[in-house]
Amino acid sequence: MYAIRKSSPVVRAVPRFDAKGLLSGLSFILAAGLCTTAPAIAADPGVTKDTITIGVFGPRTGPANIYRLIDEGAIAVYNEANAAGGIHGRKLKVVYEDDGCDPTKTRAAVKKLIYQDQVFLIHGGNCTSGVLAVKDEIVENKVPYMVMGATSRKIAAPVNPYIFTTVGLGDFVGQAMVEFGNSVPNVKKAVIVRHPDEWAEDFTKAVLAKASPAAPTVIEVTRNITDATTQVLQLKNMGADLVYVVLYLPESSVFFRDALKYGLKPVFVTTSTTTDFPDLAKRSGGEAAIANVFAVSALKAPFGTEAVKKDSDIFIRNFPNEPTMSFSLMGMSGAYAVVEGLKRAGPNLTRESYIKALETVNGVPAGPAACNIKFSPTQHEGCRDMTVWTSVGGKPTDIGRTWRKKN
Amino acid sequence: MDTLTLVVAGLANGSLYALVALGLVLIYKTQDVVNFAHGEVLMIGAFIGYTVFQILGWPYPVALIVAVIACGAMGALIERAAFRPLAEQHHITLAMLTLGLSFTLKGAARLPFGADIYTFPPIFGDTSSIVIGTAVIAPQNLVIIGVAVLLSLALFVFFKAATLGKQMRATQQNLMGAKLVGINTGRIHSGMWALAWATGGAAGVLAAPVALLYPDMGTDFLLKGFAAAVLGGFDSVPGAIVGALLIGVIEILFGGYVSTAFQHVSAFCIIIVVLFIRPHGLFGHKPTHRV
Repeated sequence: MYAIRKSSPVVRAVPRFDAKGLLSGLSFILAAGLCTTAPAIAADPGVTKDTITIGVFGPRTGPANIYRLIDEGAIAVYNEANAAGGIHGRKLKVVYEDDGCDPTKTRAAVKKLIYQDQVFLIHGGNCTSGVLAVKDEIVENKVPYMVMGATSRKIAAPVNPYIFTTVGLGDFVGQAMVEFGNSVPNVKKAVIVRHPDEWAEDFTKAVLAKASPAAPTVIEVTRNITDATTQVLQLKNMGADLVYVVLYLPESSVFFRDALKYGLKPVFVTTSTTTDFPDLAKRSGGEAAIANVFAVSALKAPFGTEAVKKDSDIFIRNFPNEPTMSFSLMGMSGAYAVVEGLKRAGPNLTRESYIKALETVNGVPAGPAACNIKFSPTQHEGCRDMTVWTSVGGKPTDIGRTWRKKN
Repeated sequence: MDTLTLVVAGLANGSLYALVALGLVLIYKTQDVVNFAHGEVLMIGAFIGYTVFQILGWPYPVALIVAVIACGAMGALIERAAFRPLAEQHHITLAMLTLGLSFTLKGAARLPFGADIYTFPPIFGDTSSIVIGTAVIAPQNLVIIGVAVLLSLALFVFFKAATLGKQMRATQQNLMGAKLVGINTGRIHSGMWALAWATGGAAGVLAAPVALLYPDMGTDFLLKGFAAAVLGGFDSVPGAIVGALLIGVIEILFGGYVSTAFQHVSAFCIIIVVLFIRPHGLFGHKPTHRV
């Protein structure tokens, strides 16, 4: 017979009934159950009792950084909304990330906004290549997205539940360009000068589809050029008398500068990237370089003029040290749409309620844009009105949608 | 398509690349390091030129002289302060140092000028291109070619005839030997950096009226200058110049007659082909080691 000594390692643990432990366990299970079954109080990111966080991304640095003015115009509208008391008691908090118009940086910027800053919605993107690089990420995370300035149809078509735009898409602007181009008299040879990228694709297709004379020749210009001699000489060789210019602003100014240098003087029809004529003249070497430039615009009127004075003042108030140009107004229509959507969504704000509310916006003024915003569940392009500007006496002037001689 | 117009424009571009390549080769021959900040030297020269010409309102030749002197002084100072202490380090260390210098210079340029793009006003006004038959020649192109030729000739005479130039050649050929005969090689290195940076600054002021000015503008020029030095031979000053002119003319002729889309890539394709045949470049020397 063996006795079990106290020091023996063989000790059989006899479970005792632990009422305290049982009570703790049951409480934990109850709490966990409540957490999983209770309705979400504030499930969507970016919304608190006091704030709604809006993520903005755009080129604050790099050769395309002038487009930061578009972002700043939108931010100015949000600041004004805050100054007026916010939306349903919440202030708009903007997180602004730089993408340098570089798709790699755009991906990093948008991921930060979604995962780190956990924004409620995103309003950004002036460069098509960058926006296309992040579109899937935004949609997969179900983040409501208002396009800032990028124009490719691939961004907004087919209609996506999360993506909205008040920017005239490339094919629509291209149609306005070719409508104007076809009205120019005595044109025997038309040529398209474009970047070989997604942004230029929609404009080019629209022009090729409807241009008269038919089938304009296409000449490509790579990004960041400092010399357009070969392209200009090719145009001279062809005898081009109408040139559709589908280039970003820096490359446009190099092109117009070299066109003047080599005596090329056709009618130039351009996109809205070149509506700021005083700035374009300065970049291109003078008024003579842009004498024949006609730019399609989605704005009512140039910055500072009577028709857009209120919005011009908003921009100056918020960004007094920044240049004042047409770009300063271009982002505002999207911001007005966002603010209207947030108002209509009411105090119980969720991403779903915001999107539904945005789709009811119909006939609301778009600030400096030449349209009234119109969204619906099947239509997420809010603005489709265009006009054409040219420089008269050094000032941007609206001349309508068809050609007429300058005075 | 007028070939003469294209060739002159190509020579003008090539002249800018030549000045950049010259700066790269001068430093490489002296210290066996590729200065990856040389594009930023051009950028600094361009902004100095912009400040003097556009903001202060002084004449263009004065802007050129000020940029050359300022960049030269900067180059000597940076060699003395940053490179000489690390001169014995591995090539990779020195190369990384130049990369760091590149980022520093870009950041420094953003302080006064921000990230905006500036335009240098035309030197010769809105018109006044020279027409010869069907060829149209921009006066600015002739200025670029002329100044580049003069600078190259001046450097050639300097290295051939001036005592300091001969000392520099001696130091490049044999550092230990130069020290043994009493040459102050530290001062020679500073002088070489000053020369290299001065040519970069000159390139910047010449490029300013035909380029867009922003802190990142030097990258393309560095690439083309580097390619020119590789094509001509990294240890050959005449080779760098010839390589640059070839790149300038080839790319513009390719763009004019074949495809504008591949204009900037064409020269690099030619370089790949040449390097298969002559890996040390057109005028470079095959490296040999005494055993």
